[in-house]
Amino acid sequence: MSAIVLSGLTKRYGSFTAVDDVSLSVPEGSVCGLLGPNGAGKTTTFLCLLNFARATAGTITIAGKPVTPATFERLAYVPERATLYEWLRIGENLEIARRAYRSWDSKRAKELLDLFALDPKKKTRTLSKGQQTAVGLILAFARRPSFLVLDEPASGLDPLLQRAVLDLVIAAAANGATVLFSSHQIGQVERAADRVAIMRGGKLVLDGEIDALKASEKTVEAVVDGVELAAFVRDPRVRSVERVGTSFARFACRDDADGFAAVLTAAGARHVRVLDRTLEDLFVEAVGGAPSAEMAVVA
Amino acid sequence: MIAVSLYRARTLVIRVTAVMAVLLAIAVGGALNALRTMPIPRDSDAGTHGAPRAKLPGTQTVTTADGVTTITTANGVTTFSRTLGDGRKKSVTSRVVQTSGSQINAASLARFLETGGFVGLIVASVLAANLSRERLTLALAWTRPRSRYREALAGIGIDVATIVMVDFLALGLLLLAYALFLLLANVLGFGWIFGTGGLRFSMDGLGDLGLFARVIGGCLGASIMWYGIVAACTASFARPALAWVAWPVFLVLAALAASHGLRGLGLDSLVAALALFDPILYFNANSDIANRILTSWAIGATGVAIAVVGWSRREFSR
Repeated sequence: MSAIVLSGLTKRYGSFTAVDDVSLSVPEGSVCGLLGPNGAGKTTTFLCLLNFARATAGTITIAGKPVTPATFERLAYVPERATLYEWLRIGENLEIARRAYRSWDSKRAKELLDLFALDPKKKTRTLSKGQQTAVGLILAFARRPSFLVLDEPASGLDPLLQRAVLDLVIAAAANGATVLFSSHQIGQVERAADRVAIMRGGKLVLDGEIDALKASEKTVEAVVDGVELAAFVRDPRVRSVERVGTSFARFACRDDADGFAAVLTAAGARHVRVLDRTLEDLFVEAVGGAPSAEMAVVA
Repeated sequence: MIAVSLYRARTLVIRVTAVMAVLLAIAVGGALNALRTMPIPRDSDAGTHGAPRAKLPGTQTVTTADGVTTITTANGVTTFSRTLGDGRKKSVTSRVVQTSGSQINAASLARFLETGGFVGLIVASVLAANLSRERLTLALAWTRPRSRYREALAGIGIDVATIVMVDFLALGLLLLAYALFLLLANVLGFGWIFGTGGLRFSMDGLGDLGLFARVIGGCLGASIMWYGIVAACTASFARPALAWVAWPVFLVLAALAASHGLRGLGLDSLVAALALFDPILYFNANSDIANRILTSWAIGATGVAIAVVGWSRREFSR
């Protein structure tokens, strides 16, 4: 069952279309990483999802129902920039949250304070960006929410804390929470998410389970000095070719990658390797970074 | 937002109390300093520490823009009485002058109420932009499991309660300060500091509860009106600093309305219409006319309603 469903979501600001007919389903208990370059529409999608911005068209449901104030008893949101009452102490920020949510778990909040080594007596405005992000994460995770919407959750944190945050996300999903989070770091998505959605120019250009997407193609890399590539480019197994410098080529193969590698080796290519596709490969291709086979040959 | 507003109100009350305490300390310090340095006056000095000597036989009536003042002499004491401008002709005493030439300084409750109300007005001008100020924390306010209307109204309720509380707190501190002066003057025997006639406290006829309530209502009404107008103008935008523009706007409008400075340009009616929405013109202990009080509260309430709807329908800006 899909816990978070966006259907035909469109958001226009005047003549500018920030989100264009996005349809996305995040199954219950899964972690979906939303990737995209700056200005792709990730944050606007979140704003519409949370009713912070009115969608121009489309529908949004969470657990099968439209988003209402009651939804937020079970849904936690961590914005890109930490949102806190800076004139209060950390403990007072947590106290406000405790009063607002029935699901607040004070013991969990204490554990998370210890995890991030934060003193609740400290004034929020004196915290570093990373510490403020950590407080924002405590406010979200101490509620043990069923749905988590996280916009760049590890932004500003050092590598150790980034790892801790991703562990929190994975643990929340293991306990049944549905997580939708955006990130600029493909490695974070690859580590924590089981699904990926990639946006470009307000449109959703790729969406699915990461393992299935990776398995759908293989990459064949080879040193191709002196090898005539034209015939290989027209091979039906090859979807695209990327030339790196004058001697190295990377082929995206839809099927029978091992067979294609054998043909390539026979033609004189050296150091031929068959690799699984990475999320980075998928991302680069989805946002328009990979040239088509024909373009590569012309180049 | 209740908890947030309570924290905010707590901070504000602490600050106002601190300021008032400092003022109180300054006043007491000043009085103690006067005790130390002022010479003991002789009879010939009578009248030099206050208003000029007055010897006014019989009863006179003087009509000014401020109301009707009646001056009566009885039992050797001349009394200036000012009548508030309501239909019930309530009389308040603003000053007592002895015919001997020495003056009794009588602080009136009405002035204290006005002063307390003015502190409330300042607080209202600070709090009025609170909804707009939420721009940086909307992600917190809008993800609570309560309707935005309820969130906004809860915050506004706390703000209004804070204004009323600060108003009375200021009044209490003023009265406390004055009580110390009365103690000095009338119990400890240092009345000469305040004039040869000593120091008194005048209820200004405000022992009448109805009149007292109307004066309080008038002073608070101006604060609520200020709050409502500024909240309505700023809640839909992420520009809380706009709230400070209200001060020059209201002051200039009040000045124009009082001076009729635009008469030559034929803009009198425009100024008069705009003046209807100027809280400063409602701020007066004499504004006990029921219609004016109701108008100020009604404008304030309308402003609050507009602010709540505007804030709730606002779109999140990054």
